[in-house]
Amino acid sequence: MKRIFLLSIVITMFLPATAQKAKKGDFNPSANYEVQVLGVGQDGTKVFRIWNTASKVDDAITEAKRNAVAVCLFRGLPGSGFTNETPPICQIGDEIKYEEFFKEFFKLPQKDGTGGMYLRFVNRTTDEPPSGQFRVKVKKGYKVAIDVQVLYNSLRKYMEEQGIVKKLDSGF
Amino acid sequence: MKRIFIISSLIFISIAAFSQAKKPTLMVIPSDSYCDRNGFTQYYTDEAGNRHVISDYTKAFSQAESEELRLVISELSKIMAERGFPLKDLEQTLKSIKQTNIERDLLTSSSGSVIKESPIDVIKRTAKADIILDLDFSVKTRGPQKYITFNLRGVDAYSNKVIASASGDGKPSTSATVGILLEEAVINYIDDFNAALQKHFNDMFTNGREIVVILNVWDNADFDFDTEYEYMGETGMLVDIIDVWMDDNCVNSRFSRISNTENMIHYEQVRIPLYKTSFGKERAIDARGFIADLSSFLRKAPFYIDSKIYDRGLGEVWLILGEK
Repeated sequence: MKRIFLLSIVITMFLPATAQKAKKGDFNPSANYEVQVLGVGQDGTKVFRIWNTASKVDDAITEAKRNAVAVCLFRGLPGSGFTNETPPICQIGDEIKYEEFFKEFFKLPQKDGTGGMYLRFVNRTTDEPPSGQFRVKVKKGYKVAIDVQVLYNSLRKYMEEQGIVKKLDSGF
Repeated sequence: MKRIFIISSLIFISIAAFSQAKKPTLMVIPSDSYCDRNGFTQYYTDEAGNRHVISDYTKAFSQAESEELRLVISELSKIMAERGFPLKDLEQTLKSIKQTNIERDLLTSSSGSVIKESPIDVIKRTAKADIILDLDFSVKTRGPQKYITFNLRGVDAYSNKVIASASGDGKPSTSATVGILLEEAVINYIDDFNAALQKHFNDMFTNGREIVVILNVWDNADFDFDTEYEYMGETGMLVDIIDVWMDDNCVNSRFSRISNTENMIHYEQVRIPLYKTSFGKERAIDARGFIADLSSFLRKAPFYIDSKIYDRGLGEVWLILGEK
């Protein structure tokens, strides 16, 4: 009886710590990734190359797609030789202010058909698996680069509809 | 309880319905340097014999070379309309003014009267906007390649402050048409430009609309801004008393007196509230709505000064003291 009691206390002590720890697959707004703008996209889109590291190539591609949407929302795209920088759609701190919304928005596609909302706003420009210089073996797995097109205007509009971002004409 | 809930809901809805600030108009205007480079100009000689050059916008839109200008304006208009800010079209405005002038000249009443119009009324019928999108671009060549130099500035028409700008050179290309390069240039810069515009609007909602106020006196007035009045138990010059009024009524007391003489006071960076309660409702106001309160203030004791309000748009107003 005493043993069961002690065991339950130990389990209870560990519970809060486990609950706060991010689950595998949860979106991390401060994830580390690199972006290289490839040019001016078609009207309302952004075309760029994004690098991501993961233990498996497929996981790195999945993460890269998600981070491609995140970079447009929270970080903005850097300028390059002939392209102007693109400001982030959200304001600083929005990822914390609307944490629950973004947790759901960036949920990976599940077997039951839920999740994967962010995928509506990102396309890979090729289906070819990354190879050569775009698939580098590193200590933690693979660092891969994929070329993506993000539907920037549609993404902004969606955020406006969800009340996350203010419209340019709001208040008038 | 239910009644209180319904009444409070109705009050909230009515406040929400009337709490929309006055929306500024935006218009793309080709820059003077663009007009000059392309020969869209007019020359005139003033009374002193000095020769001046001015941009001729009608010419800019009526010539075959203006195809590129139309294309850029169309692309900008499309993007801005998507963002909830349809642009006022300069070409159509110029045509509309011309047409209005013809119709007004022909219109008479049954007894043969024409529409009453002062010279000021005529001058007022010009193409104007609250924010001018000053556009400049040129197609340049480097060997076999073509590229676009693009410069777009959003200028507040009243304070002349640049509130947003985007400029740079596009990617040189041997195969792309000028049209595609121009479209690419607009797409390249517009997001950054709009972000700056949004920042300007956010600032406006937080700190009030920035306006220009100019006060003058009619030449038949028996007082000027140095005339002393007794107000709130103290004696002070009219200019100082008006400063006190501005301090009391501007958002966070923000205003700058740029210059003044005994006949004129020029205020800039005057931050005015976006709404005020008048006739029992909260209403959106502009520069005129703000200065109407100063006009009422001066009409009362101890001043008894009548004044004429002359508004030049959302962001500039003149108050001329002495009579209406």
